[in-house]
Amino acid sequence: MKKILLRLGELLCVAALIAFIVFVSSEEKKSDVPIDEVYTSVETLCDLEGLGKGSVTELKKQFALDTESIEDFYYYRSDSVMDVRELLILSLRDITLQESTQEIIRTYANEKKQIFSSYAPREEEMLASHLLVAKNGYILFYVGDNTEAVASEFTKAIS
Amino acid sequence: MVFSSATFLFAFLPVTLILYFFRLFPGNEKKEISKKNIILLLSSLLFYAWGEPVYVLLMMLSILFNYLIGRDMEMHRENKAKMRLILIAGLAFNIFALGFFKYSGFIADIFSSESDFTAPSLPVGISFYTFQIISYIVDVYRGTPAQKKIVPFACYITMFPQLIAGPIVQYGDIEKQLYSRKITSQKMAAGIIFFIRGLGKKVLFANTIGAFYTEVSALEVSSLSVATAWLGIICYTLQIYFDFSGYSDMAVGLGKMLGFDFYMNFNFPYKAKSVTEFWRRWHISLGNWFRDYVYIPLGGNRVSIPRNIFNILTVWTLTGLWHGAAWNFIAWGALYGLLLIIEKFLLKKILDKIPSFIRHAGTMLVVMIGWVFFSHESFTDAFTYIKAMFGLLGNPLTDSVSAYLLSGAWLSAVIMSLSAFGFFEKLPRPKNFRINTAVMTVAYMLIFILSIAYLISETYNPFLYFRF
Repeated sequence: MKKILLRLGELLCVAALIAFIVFVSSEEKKSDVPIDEVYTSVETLCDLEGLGKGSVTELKKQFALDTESIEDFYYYRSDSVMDVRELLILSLRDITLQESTQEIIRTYANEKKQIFSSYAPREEEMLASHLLVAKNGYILFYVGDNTEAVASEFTKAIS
Repeated sequence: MVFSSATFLFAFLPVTLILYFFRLFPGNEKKEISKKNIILLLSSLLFYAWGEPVYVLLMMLSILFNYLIGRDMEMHRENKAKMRLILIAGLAFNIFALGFFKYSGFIADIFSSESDFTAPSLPVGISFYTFQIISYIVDVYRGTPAQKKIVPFACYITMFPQLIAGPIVQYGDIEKQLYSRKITSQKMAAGIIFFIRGLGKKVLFANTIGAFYTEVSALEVSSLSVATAWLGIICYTLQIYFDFSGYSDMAVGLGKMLGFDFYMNFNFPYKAKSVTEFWRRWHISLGNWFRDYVYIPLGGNRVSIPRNIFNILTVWTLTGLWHGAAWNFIAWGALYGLLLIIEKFLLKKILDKIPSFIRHAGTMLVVMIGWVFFSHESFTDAFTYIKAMFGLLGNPLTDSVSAYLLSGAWLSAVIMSLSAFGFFEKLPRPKNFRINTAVMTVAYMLIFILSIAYLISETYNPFLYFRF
């Protein structure tokens, strides 16, 4: 009897492993839309005038992001410290890093907002209303006008 | 959760230790150990679930299945053929789980580069705990009594000090400690010292030097000057050692605080004068595992020379594969297999006649080239990096980046190299016990305070071996 129960337990574990694998495999997956397409879809809606392209080193220094986890990116920022407009599109290697990466960017935005508080209300307001959305392994961070339309286009592009 | 995080240091660890040492059954050691095991199991599950809430289910499933497999084998102790079948079923389950989560994406890519299959993310520590589980079921097959209770077995698998980055503790080495362990004040003090030493290695050394390598890795490989490429790989060589050995020291220290004795995972590997010696000193628990569960079952060295060569290559290709599902890791493992074969069968007598400093320099060169394969994701990048190191890309000898790196990193690199070569271990210590204790206490307190200050002020705190 004990032997039968043991065997039954083992078989149930095997069945549970297969069910678990099916469950994990059906979770949200990385989008296969190329990052260029995602960028093109939001580019015209974003206010990027006068912004320059940022490097991977800047990404590390500004955001303290682990760039090993980033597959590809588009980063636009201003050379002027008083211009807070930014656009960052990240394609992550591993979708499970989506939340933690968003948290890092959120911290960056909040810290930057603190810097501008009390003396640059417009910039502070822009940073406070920043856009940070993530879907299927892509993250979009945008500080500028037209955030609602940008968010909608980004989501459409990835879907 | 990582050991070098504020959450672990100031919340998880103190609460766990308080609950662990709170005596619920004074005078009844057996019940006390059972209570300690339950606390350890629950805290370990919480520790794992902190970063991997879904995959804790996979680990629990694995524990249950392998506990049943152990019990099943125990019931068929007299029937060797049946035991072998049960062992094969157990191995198949574990290798399938590890294979699916770690290698399915890689295998799908081999068969079709345009495959739609997306592998799930890798559960943290799956390579470590699967190897521990395999050690258990193989040991039971070989004659070790199977665990009657599931809690001590689950403790062995989930124990948070070594759960996500080793050392890989073989079941036979810890079996008795699961039921009987003494926690003395000396052991606790030794545990704290190990932990602080590991924390210092990780936070003050690995993170500092790692930041320089990150700068180099962010540059285009083809644009690196010779000096930048060398400085980059020197920084990585130091980073990976202090990162992993620091984490292992913390694991050993935490184990001691909880009353366990784990074997050391590193023994000054960069002091090695041959590749063979390097691997006797680097990630010792992984080497021992492959020796006991793969190399010796294959026949080890008590076979013909061609078969011995096959065994060595098999073990080292698997070692490479264990580190990651990518061709660069397989090549890295096979390269070491090849070097070990060359040393063993061709160079042994010649090496003995070469001055030791040349052997040491040669070993370090080989190890650093090995790390190039380890640190790059593609073959092309790794080979381009090696070409840059030897000026084969027509790249300049030095540039502004190398000057910046040298000015910023030279002092750290010198101190860390001295530490990695064991120089500080040889420094004379006060002969008076009390003075020595006072000096060491101040030194370790300083390391702890500096590490905490660094953790609070810096956000750069990666851990290289988590991805395995």
